[in-house]
Amino acid sequence: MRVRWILVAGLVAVAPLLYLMRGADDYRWSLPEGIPPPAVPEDNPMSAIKTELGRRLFYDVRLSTGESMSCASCHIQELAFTDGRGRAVGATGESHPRGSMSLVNSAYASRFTWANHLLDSLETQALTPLFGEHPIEMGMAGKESDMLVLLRTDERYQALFPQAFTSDADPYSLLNAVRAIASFVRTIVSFDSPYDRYMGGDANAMTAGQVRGMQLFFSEQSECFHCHGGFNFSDSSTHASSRIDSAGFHNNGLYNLGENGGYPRDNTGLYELTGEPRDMGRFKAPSLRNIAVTSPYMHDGSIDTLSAVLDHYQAGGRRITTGDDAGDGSRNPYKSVFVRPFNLTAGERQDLLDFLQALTDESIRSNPRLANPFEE
Amino acid sequence: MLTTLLLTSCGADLNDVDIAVSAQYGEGKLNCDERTSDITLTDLRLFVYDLHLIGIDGSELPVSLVADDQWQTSNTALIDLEDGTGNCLNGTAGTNTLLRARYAGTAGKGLIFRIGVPETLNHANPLLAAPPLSDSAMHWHWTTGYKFMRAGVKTADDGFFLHLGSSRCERTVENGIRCRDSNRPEIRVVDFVPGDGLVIDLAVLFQGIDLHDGNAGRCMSGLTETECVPLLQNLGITHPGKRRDSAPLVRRAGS
Repeated sequence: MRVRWILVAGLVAVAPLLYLMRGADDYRWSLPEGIPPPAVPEDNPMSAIKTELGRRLFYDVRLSTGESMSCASCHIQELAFTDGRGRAVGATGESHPRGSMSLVNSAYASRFTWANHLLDSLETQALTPLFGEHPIEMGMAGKESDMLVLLRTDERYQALFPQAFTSDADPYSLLNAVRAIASFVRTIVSFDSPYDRYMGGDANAMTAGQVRGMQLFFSEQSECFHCHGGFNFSDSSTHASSRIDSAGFHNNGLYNLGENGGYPRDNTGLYELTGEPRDMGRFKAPSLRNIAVTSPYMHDGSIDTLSAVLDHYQAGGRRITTGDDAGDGSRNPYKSVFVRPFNLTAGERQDLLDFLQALTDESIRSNPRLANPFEE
Repeated sequence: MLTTLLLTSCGADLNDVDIAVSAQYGEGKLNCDERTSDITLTDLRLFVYDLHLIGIDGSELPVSLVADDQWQTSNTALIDLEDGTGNCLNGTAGTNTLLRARYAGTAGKGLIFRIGVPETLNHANPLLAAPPLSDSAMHWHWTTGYKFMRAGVKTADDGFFLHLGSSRCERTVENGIRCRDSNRPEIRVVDFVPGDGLVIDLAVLFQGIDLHDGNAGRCMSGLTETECVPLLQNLGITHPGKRRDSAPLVRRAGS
């Protein structure tokens, strides 16, 4: 196994300057060669102490109504920061129309959530699970004063906030809490899968079948890579030196209600925000990293296994014959041009499925730096 | 409620005007406590801004709000008519039923304002905002703006609520969001004179919504939501269909 972990040269070079400007910016990205560091907002630079504060906030159930859940309740480390449910359930028991997305490599996401072209700020995104009302997730709308009391009075937070935000006269604020949570989430970075090790030069990191599956994945035959391409296996990805705003949303033929292109009312994708017919059923292509441990699949958890996902794509869409959702998704008029039927032999199919297993980074699922600090 | 102050610093006479605001459903008082009527309030909070009185000569006199670091900035106020009791399940105990304002000139008849948050503030980071824009219950994070108004009522087996805010927005948080549907209704109270109070009539807002069909509905300002159609018409917001020719949403108290 030959993986060369390097410090990111650019960050090291500017670190002393950042230290002078903004206080301790001593966070070190551990990235394989060839992987760029993520883009970090200028007003929320990384620091080790801030990410540690963010980890504690991330796992703190007191940031929800009834102290019933934390961020980690829907983003469980062992499941690559998903929750194993088709649709998430909030602090009051309300079901979310969509499933919890993996937080792995969200530092590299150019847009957040399943379908929101406006949302390019992780700090802003963190506010929706905390305060959103439809559905209620953590249920803190109107309860920000309770949160501030907690931040000010908890002994650990009394120690961490002033250290993490040294230049603030009053470091205890919702703004700083959200900045710390976002900083922690940015540390959930995964580039140590068998695929990464293979790309790093370890020819034995993937099986022969997985290598064949990789070639199929990146072929015009399967078309997978058009939407799930690049270093993060998602076309809605960006990084520190990216100058292109890449944000892909695709209708993948999952539904075709009434044969008019419709999607179930609570999950219309980008259409919900834009009202444009062409946006019906357009969702973000999520990163496929760790996809083998993040079932069930699709925005609404409506496909249980990767094998069934492959069936869906091989057919160029999903046909539902009965019920409210009936319709032939393969004939959805708004479907992406890249989702069209293709044939695979039984062996090719197995190779492709085996390749998806090679995207699982076991270290991300057990790294103690990302684990629950309340259990330490 | 009307007094005159002489401000020597600028040499202009400024008149104080306090405007009391209350909620009704038709002719009936509306509050959160279900013991008082068949229809009860579940929520009523709204931002207002850009107030003008109509001067005696027909001109529009700018009205500034008295900033108090809680309910009002100099241009935007949060009116809060729910007290967190009864059916106002997710409300707050604090209420704000009085706009405190000032204007120069001689008022005639008429008051104009908008429901909403000014565009320059609507997409700014809400965690950096000063009160009343810091209230998380009025933030609408996934649309990256504010809820201009939260209004809801409940009957025995039914109810409806509205979250009003800008919709069909473009660009991103980090790159200047712009919205095609502003959704900031202009309110004109034609017979208002300083000293009057205002009544917000939710029977006007929810006209066209069946509040007794057992099917509790909602409108989140989406152009594609069928249940928004009558509400956006009742608010006078440009929308497919015409503005309803009905009683005004906001009227002079006692009128």
